[in-house]
Amino acid sequence: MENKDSYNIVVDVDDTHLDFQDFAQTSALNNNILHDYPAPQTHQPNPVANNEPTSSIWSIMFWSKYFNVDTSQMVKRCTMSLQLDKEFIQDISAENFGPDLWGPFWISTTAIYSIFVSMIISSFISDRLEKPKGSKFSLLALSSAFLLIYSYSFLVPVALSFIIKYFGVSCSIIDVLAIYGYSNTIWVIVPILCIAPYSMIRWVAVAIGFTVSSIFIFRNIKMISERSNSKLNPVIIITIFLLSMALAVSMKFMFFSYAVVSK
Amino acid sequence: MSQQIEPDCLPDDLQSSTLLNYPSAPPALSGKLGSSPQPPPLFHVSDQLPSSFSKNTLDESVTTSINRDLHKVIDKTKQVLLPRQNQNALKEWDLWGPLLFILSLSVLMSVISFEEQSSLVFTQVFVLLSVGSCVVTLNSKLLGGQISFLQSVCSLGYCIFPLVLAAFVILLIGKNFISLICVIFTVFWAAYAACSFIASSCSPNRKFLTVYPVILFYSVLGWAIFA
Repeated sequence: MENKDSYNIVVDVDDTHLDFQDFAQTSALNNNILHDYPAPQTHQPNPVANNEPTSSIWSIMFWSKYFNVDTSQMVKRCTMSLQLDKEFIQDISAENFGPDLWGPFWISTTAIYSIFVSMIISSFISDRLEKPKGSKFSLLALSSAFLLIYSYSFLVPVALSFIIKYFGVSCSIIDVLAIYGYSNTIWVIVPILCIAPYSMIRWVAVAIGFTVSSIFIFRNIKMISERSNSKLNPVIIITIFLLSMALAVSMKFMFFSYAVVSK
Repeated sequence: MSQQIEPDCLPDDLQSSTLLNYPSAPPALSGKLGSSPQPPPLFHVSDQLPSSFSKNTLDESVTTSINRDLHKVIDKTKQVLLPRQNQNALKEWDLWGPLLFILSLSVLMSVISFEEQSSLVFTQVFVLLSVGSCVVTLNSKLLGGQISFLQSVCSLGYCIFPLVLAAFVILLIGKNFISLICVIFTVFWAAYAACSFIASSCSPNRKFLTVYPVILFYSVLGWAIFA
């Protein structure tokens, strides 16, 4: 008899499993309304499909949804960022393809690579020209480039998205990260222009970089605030432009200044 | 001398004991007629394990052990850098080879660099190589590549070997046109070998996104060696 009872309990457990199927469907509905609803951790048949609350921040699954891009998608977003397209924020919205982090990370890394290569080449050129001494290139410039670019394209967006939220505009950190990361596309091209050993060309190139990246960021942040029907605070606008200018000027003096030809 | 249990016989002993302790072993559903029925695998034993255990590795001298490991590293380097050969060479990954190549490249580059910076250059190259190969692997995993993490780190590390050769050439003959060609050739070689491994694990419309960081990684190293 005892055996039979325990068998019944097992059947009961199965019954709750059957209930659970229903429950999951309703909770998926609830999830859209209430974000803080705790979703069931187990028995998820397809964790890729709707894994926002389920997978932890330390798992590959959590991050791989932000790497859900194709090559053509990537190229399209890069050209959008160079054309100052304010539809960019539409393209990375959740109903289209979703924001990605592949672009922000590897575009920033490519910008660092580009700075590094342009410094090496311009130090070769300045060796050929009449100032052989004083312009010894060192590998240590690489780590300062890493520090500058990564802190600008990862710390600043996180801080900025908190400021935007503080002023009452809803925005996601990932969106701001994507905007800042793709705005770095111009900084892949600027260092190549800065190889030219004339101070004037370098200033013009850095000014182009500042203009393109800051206007792209500004237009898309503005789109975010318009989407939630609120006005963008002037403090945020000034912060965006000041930080972008700080990046441009510090890049000019740190990386593109030493090989100037002087007679 | 009393009878001692030799650790080398352990897998065989375990296998026979599982056979004995499994009186109601289900008959194998498929297989060759006439072959003896295999015990069901209660634990996973890879195919390489019994052969490596058959040699008595406890009694041999240290030099023999180091020699054998070195030969393994050389074998794997050959298999990684000549990608036309068998692809499943790195099923048995190790981190000795990558560590050896990363250390030797860092030492060579710190020797090449200016006197006052050599220790900083060593640190920087070492961190760049080890963190870089991890980041490249993580990238291909995040893009949905079907590879094991350490296996990929291992093969990326073995692909550093051509760059060690290039750094050695620069140490010998200095920075000139010949060593520039040498650096370019070795960067292409390393990137090609690594890409042929990494690209096989991802979907075709993400091939560029997976391969591009690999190329970036090795070309940064090439520039850093020649700078």
